[in-house]
Amino acid sequence: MARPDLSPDHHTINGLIAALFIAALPHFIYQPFWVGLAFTLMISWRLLHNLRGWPLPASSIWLRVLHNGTAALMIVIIFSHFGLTIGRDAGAALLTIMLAFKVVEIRSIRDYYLTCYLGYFLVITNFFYTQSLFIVVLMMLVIVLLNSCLISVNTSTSAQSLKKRLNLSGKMVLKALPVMLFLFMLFPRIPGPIWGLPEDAGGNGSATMSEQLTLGEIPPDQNRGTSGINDEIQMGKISQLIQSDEIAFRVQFEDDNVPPNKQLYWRGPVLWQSDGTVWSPLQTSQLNEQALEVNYQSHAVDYTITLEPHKKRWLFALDFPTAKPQGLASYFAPDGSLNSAEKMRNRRQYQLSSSTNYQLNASGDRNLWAALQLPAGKHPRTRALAESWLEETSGQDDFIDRALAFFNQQDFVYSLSPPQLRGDIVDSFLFETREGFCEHYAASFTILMRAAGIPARIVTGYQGGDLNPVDNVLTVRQRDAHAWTEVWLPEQGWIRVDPTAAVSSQRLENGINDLLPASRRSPGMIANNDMLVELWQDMKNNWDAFNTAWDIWVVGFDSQIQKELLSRLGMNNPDWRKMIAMLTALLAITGIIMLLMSFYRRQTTEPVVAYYQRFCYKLARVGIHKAAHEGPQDFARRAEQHLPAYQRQIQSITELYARLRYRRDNSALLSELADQIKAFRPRR
Amino acid sequence: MTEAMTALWQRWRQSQKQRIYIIPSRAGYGYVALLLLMLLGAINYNNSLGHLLCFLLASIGHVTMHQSHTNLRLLTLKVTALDPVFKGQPARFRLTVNNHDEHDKYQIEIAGKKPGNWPRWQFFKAYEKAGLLEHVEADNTRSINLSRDTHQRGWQPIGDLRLASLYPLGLFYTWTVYQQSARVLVYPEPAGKRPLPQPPGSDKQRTQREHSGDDDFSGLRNYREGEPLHRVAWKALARDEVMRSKQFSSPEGHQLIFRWQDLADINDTEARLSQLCRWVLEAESAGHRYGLELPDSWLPPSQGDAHQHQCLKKLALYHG
Repeated sequence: MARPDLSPDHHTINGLIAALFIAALPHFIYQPFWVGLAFTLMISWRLLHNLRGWPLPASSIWLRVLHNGTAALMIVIIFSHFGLTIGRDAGAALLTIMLAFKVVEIRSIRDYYLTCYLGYFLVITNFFYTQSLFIVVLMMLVIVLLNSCLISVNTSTSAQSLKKRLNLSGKMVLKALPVMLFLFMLFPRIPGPIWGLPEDAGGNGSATMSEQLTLGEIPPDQNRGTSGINDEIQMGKISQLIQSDEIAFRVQFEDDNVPPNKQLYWRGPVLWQSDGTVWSPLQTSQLNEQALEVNYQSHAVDYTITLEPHKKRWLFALDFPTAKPQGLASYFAPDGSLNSAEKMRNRRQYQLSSSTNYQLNASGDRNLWAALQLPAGKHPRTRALAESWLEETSGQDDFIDRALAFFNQQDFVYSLSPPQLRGDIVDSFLFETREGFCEHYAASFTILMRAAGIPARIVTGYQGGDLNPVDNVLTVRQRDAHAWTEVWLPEQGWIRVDPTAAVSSQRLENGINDLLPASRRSPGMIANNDMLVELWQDMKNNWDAFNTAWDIWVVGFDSQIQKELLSRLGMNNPDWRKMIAMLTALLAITGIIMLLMSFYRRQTTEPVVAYYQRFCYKLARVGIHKAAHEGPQDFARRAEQHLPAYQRQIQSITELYARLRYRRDNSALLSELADQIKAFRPRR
Repeated sequence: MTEAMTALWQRWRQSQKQRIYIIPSRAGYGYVALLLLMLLGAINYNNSLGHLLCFLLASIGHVTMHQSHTNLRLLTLKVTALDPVFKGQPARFRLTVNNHDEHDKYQIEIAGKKPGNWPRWQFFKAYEKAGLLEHVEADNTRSINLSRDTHQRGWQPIGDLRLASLYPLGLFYTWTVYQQSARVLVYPEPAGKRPLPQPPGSDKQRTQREHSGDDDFSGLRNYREGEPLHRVAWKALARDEVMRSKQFSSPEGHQLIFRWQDLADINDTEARLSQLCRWVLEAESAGHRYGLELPDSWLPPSQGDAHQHQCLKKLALYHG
């Protein structure tokens, strides 16, 4: 039962604990608190054993019961918390906790190896949560530490100090980088998943749009703290989104041909129906099927969108795309929104081309009925207002102008933090608070239109984006979320009307950025100094450009981008056979180069050796070559026979060298050796 | 540049002289399993950094393979035999490992081939661990004493030496075999209970008297293996912890000849040799002059370490 304790020494285990602690650290944030607590308690147990001699479970039956019992309890807690399917969260929690329990009972080298290997696995689970550069740097550190742990059980501490082991481990990681790069680029990528993914897979809970718009009170956030456009677009929800600087998608325009900011409407889900508070889309089945009839009136711009995963089907496109995207299965819904065939679980790239000047369904739309429905009995004052305008105005164009003028000329304020609305949301907004964010304007404008018999619908999406001058990538963030209205006019089709523009033209000319408080744009400390702000902005642009490249070329690297990269590098129609062949060739070449490099002798290994090599070189010039097998003393004897005149010098140098090299004597002798070798000028 | 390349080439050629074998260890196979599991996870979750980590670890495995190989290359061995021993005592060798490489070598296990006929490819069962070199610095040498069990008299060769290492990560088991010719002489085991034979031409009584009383204490000398324990100078040992044996001189004329034929009643050759061996040791420590007569050779009576060694060597190498 009781195995003998053959575990490696305490220092070795302490090193492993340090590495594991760093690897588990990010999980303390992602996981419920008790995961971190159990982990910390268990590794502390081992640490206290190592440092203070506390007993381990093996030493008494009660401790063993405590250890195994707690482990069993933790498993029960994990299952009761996460359910029976082991998904990403449950798996990571299980691994983190069991690893700590394993650390307590390391009793052999084999246990030690197992724990190390589980540690490597803990590293990869971190990447299932976030793939940021910071976490990569942190995990690289863990890899170096774990490797040095493995080194420490394969060498003796007296022969190789901790510093040397870390040094070796770091060097090994550096030496591993070229082959890693080849494998990364050329190992044929298999598009996953191989088996079904649990719901929590992929993505980092990024902020995303919702499918509904709720005006008024925001229900408690059920999405575990992830802000975002949601299944429901709620009034107030978008203004929550603008708190988030998370990236929604990135756009690279072909030929850096970026349309002006006020044309950058990124079309997302279209909302049709409302109960007075919540606006939601119509299912595709509820809509009448129809082919979109688009009349493009300006040149199309080509661009590539890199969409962050949002676990929904919709794809964002610049109003209005000329065709479905390349390289992604997708379809246009009857309301013009673009949808992917499957949920966006991973960062994806797609190419589109859009014309910003277009006519949509000008000759008719089969879903106008849905664009005229009003919630029964809601918004009486708003309807009354619309009716009064109907009498004042002639024609639909006039009515629209009247409504926009209303927003423009009355005391409406565009606010990022509007007051809470009560009662009839739209009425109280239009007649009382008059302070709102885009969704308030879009919703109330749409109600006004419908009340006047003009078909109208809300389009959600993003507006604008930050153009980074470094790489000319337009980054659209969650804070650029926007909602606007489309009205359908005979012979003109669906026309975009953005009531927010009537209130705040700034929002559309310059984007949301200018409206944000200065503290959101640069750190508070330097906000008052223009030069520093500019410098900071400059650095930030470079950093953003780097991050963009990182996200697209490293994090987003998949079979699609792999093919693209390889064809750019000159491989015709890359397929897995060509990749494997190329990879094999490169690995063979790297192997040979590594072998040759290892035989290369650096000239500056140690100053003593370098000086002695200089001495040997001087003798070699007069024809006395040191053979590889010859020791310094033998060589000196031979040299003295050839050069009797220099006997004293040769002897003295050799003796100094031997003292410095083999007895590791006083290093003050080094300069003397250097002087003597400098003065040594043998001649035949 | 060409000079550097030539030097590089020569060092490579030199390293090729010694064949180095390498296979994954158990931990190495575990590592491969870990990588496959990781790759599966990375593919399933479409996780690019997961791929990256997996490839990094694979590449580290590759680097480890190179390092394991490097850890055993460009080594030369020199084995010197140490003093002869009696059968049953461990034969001791001095192994000097010379590292001609620029890289330090770590944790090299030295194993000797077990006696018996082993197939050439049997690298594991045929060897047993004999020593460990923790560190051999670049361009430097390290020495270590090895001992091999002795099971028969005669020349005991060190046999093939296997140098093996798991360094640096324990993922690969690397080894190389050096053929060595060094050998240690193994004397027969001193044994047998017969008293020393009578000197020729003397009567029994005189000998007995002399044995009991007349031997004079003549001094101390360092204790040698095989001498009877009752001669150990225990007092002197207690004083300075050096084991010495008391030496006695006996008058001239005590010439003992140990004859093979005198032990004709012992059938076993080894037992006979053991008895002769004991006599030689006893006679030497008693300060007698003694000679040896074997069927194929004989040594005239004499005294001293060199003579004793000659006698024991004859016994060790005796072929009946």
